[in-house]
This record gives sequence, structure tokens and C-alpha cells, in this order.
Amino acid sequence: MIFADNLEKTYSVAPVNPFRRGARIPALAGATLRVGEGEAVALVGRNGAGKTTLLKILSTLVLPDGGRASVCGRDVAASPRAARAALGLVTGDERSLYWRLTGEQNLSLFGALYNIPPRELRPRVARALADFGLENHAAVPVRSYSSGLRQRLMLARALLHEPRVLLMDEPNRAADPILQGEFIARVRDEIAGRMNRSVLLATHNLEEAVSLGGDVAVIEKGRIVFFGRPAGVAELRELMAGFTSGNPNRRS
Amino acid sequence: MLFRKDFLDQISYRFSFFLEAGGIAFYTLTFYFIAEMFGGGVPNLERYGGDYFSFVLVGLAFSSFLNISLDTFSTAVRDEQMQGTLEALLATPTSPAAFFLARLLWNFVHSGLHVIGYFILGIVFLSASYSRANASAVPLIVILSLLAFNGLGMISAGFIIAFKRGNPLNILLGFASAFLGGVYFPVEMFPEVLRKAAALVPVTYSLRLMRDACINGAGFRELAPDFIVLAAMCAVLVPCGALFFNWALRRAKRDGSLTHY
Repeated sequence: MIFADNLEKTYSVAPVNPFRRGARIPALAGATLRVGEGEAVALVGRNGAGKTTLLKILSTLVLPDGGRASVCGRDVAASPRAARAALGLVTGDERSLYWRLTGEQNLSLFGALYNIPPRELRPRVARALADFGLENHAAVPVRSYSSGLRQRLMLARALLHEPRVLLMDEPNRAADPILQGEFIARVRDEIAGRMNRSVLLATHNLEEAVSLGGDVAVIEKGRIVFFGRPAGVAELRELMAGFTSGNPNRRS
Repeated sequence: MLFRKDFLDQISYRFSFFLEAGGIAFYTLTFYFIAEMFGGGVPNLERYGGDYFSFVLVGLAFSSFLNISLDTFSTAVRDEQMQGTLEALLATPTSPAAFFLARLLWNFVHSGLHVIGYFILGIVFLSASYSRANASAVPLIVILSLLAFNGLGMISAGFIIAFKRGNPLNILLGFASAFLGGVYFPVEMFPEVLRKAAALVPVTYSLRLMRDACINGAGFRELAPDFIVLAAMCAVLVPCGALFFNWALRRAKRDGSLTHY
């Protein structure tokens, strides 16, 4: 479902002083990852470890310098449109919604952009609003929503076209701990469990990563340095500390 | 659906409707009184019947319409970047060209209403007269002009995507359409050097065609030379614009700066 093989990416950063050479910042240095059907994998790493770059490459928003990646067998660099049709993207950025439009209008707009046939669009939007408990807020502009409602709307938007793959980049950034727990349970039990979607969720919240219930991929300096199921948050924290200090006590 | 989104977005800013209507009235009245000051027989305007108000009203209405084509793509890119919605849009299977074209469609309707506003005010309430107009030529002039400006608009949007700011095209063409293109005065007044410069910008041909058709009632045979030049400009600008826009998009995806502004 999700496949990344030896992905490499280095960003050129323009210097503040125009007469100096820009810096080259490596973001991915041979990242390799596989997420199968119905699996929910948490991607954890410190800030700047390469989580967002990996997700952006998988969602075709950034082109890799080297390596290959595919979503549902569709190469993200060679067939980006086909890859995008097979995936839903959730970011933690509430601004990715149109705040002056209502929840229903947002879903209808993105449904059309995801090529949902016009006669199916209305019932699907109504179902999505009901599934995510947004019926009573359907006609309210998104600017009046709470962070929790916006988060639910972003998830509803990502699932509207029934993608087989869901990519999430710190979706709980603005949520309180209770909402975070509910959100993770929903992703684990409903989206990966009942709906059999493949989920890759990037986070730096270790509790969230373990609660997702599947494998955890640890990314450090642009490489996946661990892939497996830690027994708990304490073990995962210990693992990550080891990789950060350059003295890992366990590798997959 | 994108058209509907832009419409809904626009009407959510109710006060701006009144500001826009007020702006049209203010502009039209300003040039009406300037025309009144000159009187009816303005030298240099013999070609257009000598009436400055009828002359400048075409320039005002049509240039604002054309500038929309120039600005739409770059403004759309900038708006989506600033709002934070660009990545969400680009993560859908719809091509970027499709949603920017949809934005263009709404802007045409929106600016078309401005044009109608200018002409209603000028013809019904003031003294503009287009009794000899060759209305059948107007759609072709509009289509060719919009195509030429869309080509430039795509290049302009490419600058925003690739370099974020400092879009030289909008500055240059804004100046060119207002000054060189002859919005406020006829290009024929210019010295030789400026006349040659004016011949390089599409708005010169668009406005001359529109005035010849609307004020002088010129037929297709008389309009043909300017039509040919404008069509040639379209043939060059539209593919160049599309190529440059795609290059800029790939560049931004390569350096990861799609959402930077």
C-alpha cells in the first residue's frame, strides 16, 4: 500500500545574505518503509528528523532527489495524479480548510476536486458529516468551529473519496489530550480496523504512537532506524534516546 | 464547484460589494468631469469621434477586465499560499491548471459585472455614446485578449510559485497597460520610440480593437490587421505561460517551497 525505498532529499536554503552560498540541509538519507493493507504505522522522530518530508513526498507535494516511493502501486513521482487519487492527507494545519465556507461547502468542494461524481457527492457529504458528528455544524462557517470540530472535518475531508491510504502529519497538533485519545482510537479501530485503510501517522507524541496499536517507525536524521512494536511508551522513549545519543541498544 | 466556492467566498464579504460599486462610480465620474473640462472636440481623438469620455470609458472598463486575467493566477496562488489551503488543493487529483482556470472563470464574471457597471453608468446616466458599435466583433476581441493576458498571467503565477515575491511581470504590465496601452489617451499621441514600445504589449491591440469596434463601428476587414497581431501574440504567450507555470511548480516541489511565501 505505502512503499518508500531508499528515499533521499536535500533542501537548499537561500541565505539571508544574497552574496553568500545557501546551505544544503539533508532531510532524508535513504528512508525505507512499508505499510501494508489495514496497517496503522506511527512515524515518530524529533523535530527535523524527516517525518514531514517523507509524508510530503508520499503525498506528491515534494519531489525526492533519489529513491522510489509508491502509494497503492502508483509511483508518486511518475504518476502523481494517480497516487493522489488513492490517498487522503490530514495535516495538523487547520488553515488548510476554507474558513469562510461552511463545513458542508468545504466537503463538497474537496469532494469535487477528488472527482466524486456529482450525483454521489451530496449523499457522500451528508454521510461524512453524520459519521464525524458534524451534522449540526454543517451550515456553520468553519471560522466558528472549535479546533476539535476542524480536526474532525479535516479527517472527514481526507476520507470523503474513500482512499485506501491515509497519510497524517501531526493531526493532533491543536487538540487537547482527551480529543487526542478519541482521535487515535478512531483511527485505530475504525479507519485502520473496520475500514481496512493503510495509515501512516507522523507524530512526536510517543504516547500517541504507541496507542495507535500498530508498528512504530522511528526516523532519525532522514533514515528509518527502527521498525517494530515497542512494549510501551517507556521502551520507545528509551529507544529514541539511544538513537539520538548515537548509542542504540536495539535496531530492527 | 470551484466557481461556486469563489462566489460564496466573495459574497461572504458583503461590504466589499458596496465598496466596488462605489469605486466604479467614483472612477467614472472623475473621468466624466475631466472629459467635460475638455469639451467635445478633443484634438488627437478625431479617429474616435473626438469624445474623450466615450474613449476613456472603453479603456477603463476593458483594461480592468484584462488586468483580471493578468492577476488572477498569481493572486490565486498567493491567496491559497497565505490561507494555507494550497497544499490541500495540490494533494487532490485535480490538476492545478483546472482550479486556477475555475478561479479565472469567477473573476471574469465578477469583472464582467464591473464592465457592465461602467457602461450602464456611462451610457444611461452620463454622456457616453456607442451608437455605431459593431457588437459582433466584441466577443472575438474579448476572447483573444483574454487568451493573451492569460498567457502572461500564467507566467506571472509561475514567478510567485518559484520566487515568491518580486513578480516583475505584474509591475511591468500594469505600467504598460495603463501608460503604453493607451487606457487614458490614444497611443497615436506618443513619440516614435514610445509608439514602438506600445506595439509590443497586447493591451494596445486589445484596446484599439475595442475602440474601433465600439466607437467607430469598424467591420472585421478593418479590424483584421490588429486581430492577426493579437492572435500571433496568443499563439506565443499561451504555450509559454503553460510551460513556465509547470516549470515553476516542479521547481517548488523539488525545493520543497510550495507553501512558502
